[in-house]
Amino acid sequence: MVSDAWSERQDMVSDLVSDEGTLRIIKQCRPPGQVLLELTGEADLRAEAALCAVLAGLAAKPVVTDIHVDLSGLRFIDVAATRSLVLAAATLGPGRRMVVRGAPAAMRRTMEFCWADYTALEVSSG
Amino acid sequence: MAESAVAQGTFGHAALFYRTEDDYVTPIAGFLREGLEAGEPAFVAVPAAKAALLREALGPDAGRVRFADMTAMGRNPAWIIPRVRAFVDEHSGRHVRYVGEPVWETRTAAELREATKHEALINLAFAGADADILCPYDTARLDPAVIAQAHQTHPELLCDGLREASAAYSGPLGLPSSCSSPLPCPPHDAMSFTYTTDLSEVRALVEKHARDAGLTDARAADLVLAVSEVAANTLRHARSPGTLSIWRDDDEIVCEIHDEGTITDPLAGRRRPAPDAAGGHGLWLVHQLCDLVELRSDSNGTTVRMHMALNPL
Repeated sequence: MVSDAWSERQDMVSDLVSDEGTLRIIKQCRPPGQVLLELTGEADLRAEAALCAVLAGLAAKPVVTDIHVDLSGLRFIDVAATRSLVLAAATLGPGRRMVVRGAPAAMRRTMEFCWADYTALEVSSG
Repeated sequence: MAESAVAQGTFGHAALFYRTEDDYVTPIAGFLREGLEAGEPAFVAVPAAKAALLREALGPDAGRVRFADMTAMGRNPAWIIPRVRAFVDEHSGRHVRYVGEPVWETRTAAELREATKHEALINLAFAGADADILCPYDTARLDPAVIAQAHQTHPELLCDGLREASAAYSGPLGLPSSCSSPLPCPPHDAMSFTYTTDLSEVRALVEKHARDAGLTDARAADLVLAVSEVAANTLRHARSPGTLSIWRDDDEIVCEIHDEGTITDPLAGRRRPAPDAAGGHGLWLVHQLCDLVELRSDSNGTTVRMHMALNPL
């Protein structure tokens, strides 16, 4: 699971923001300006719209500066879902960032072949 | 008119038929030297043993030519066009020369179909590009049917140092029948599964069969991702159920997706999509992940056959 910065999550408010298809998205807010998204299950076609909506909602809030996305509970992520994360990160602009942890093999391969030079989305190996 | 001729470049694509080492080395070294003397960048992708012959013939000039081992770079023939495209783009505004030998006698029947299709698609992919492409064929070892297809896929032939038009050339949109007619049927004992909305089961089946066949974790995950992307295309575009078939032999595991959709772009999967492109990433990735991909599509439907070797080199 997630380490360090998020280890004291019992103090945080968790919201189940989406449960579409086989994907669950849980959002935790931790001031100032930090949000953790926890994705579990399988991120494929059936959850595409829900994932895009959650990411667009966060990107539209300038007060959110750090978006951490924990993918360690994902069994699968398809190219469209990886693309949603990559492109959402690219819209954030200076002073804001998106960091992904626990990326499944499918996402690392997709990044390698489709977005190798795209650095907006930070992929943490931790 | 002169300006537009320059802007359009001078595309050439010739087959060279050889039987002996000398038949091979002399015309290819001549083709490369002519370019080097004019200051043109040159790229050679042939099997490594052949590259050694060319390096020897070129002597110190070999250092000005970029070499690649085609048995690695073109193991999946769909990988070749993007590599040549990158070389052409890297030298944008200059005339470049490329020697590519994607066809050799130990290729499987499926690989030969795809290598021939690749040769045909070169004409479309590089139409108007400022590039001269030469493709050697070993007539001593290749099946005469393969040589006949090379006459269809190349607008020109290089014979005795002279370029002549190939009378059998099928045009930039033409494909020899071996790579446009329906694929050979799957074996009768292939597993078959129909899906309508849920891709989880498709992925679970591919994963199980990939593991049973002995693929490593990483290659099994690659195959699962590839098949899932093609199956997702069914749900996005085809408005019909899709069928997954899986089978294996001693050398490979094969997964096939068939649906009633149509893929109209003959170069789908052979052009690297822009990072922010609206589509195209899925099929691009499928072609990168698999050892071989066969795609057939017409108004009756689309079949995508993905091959993974059990003992990759």
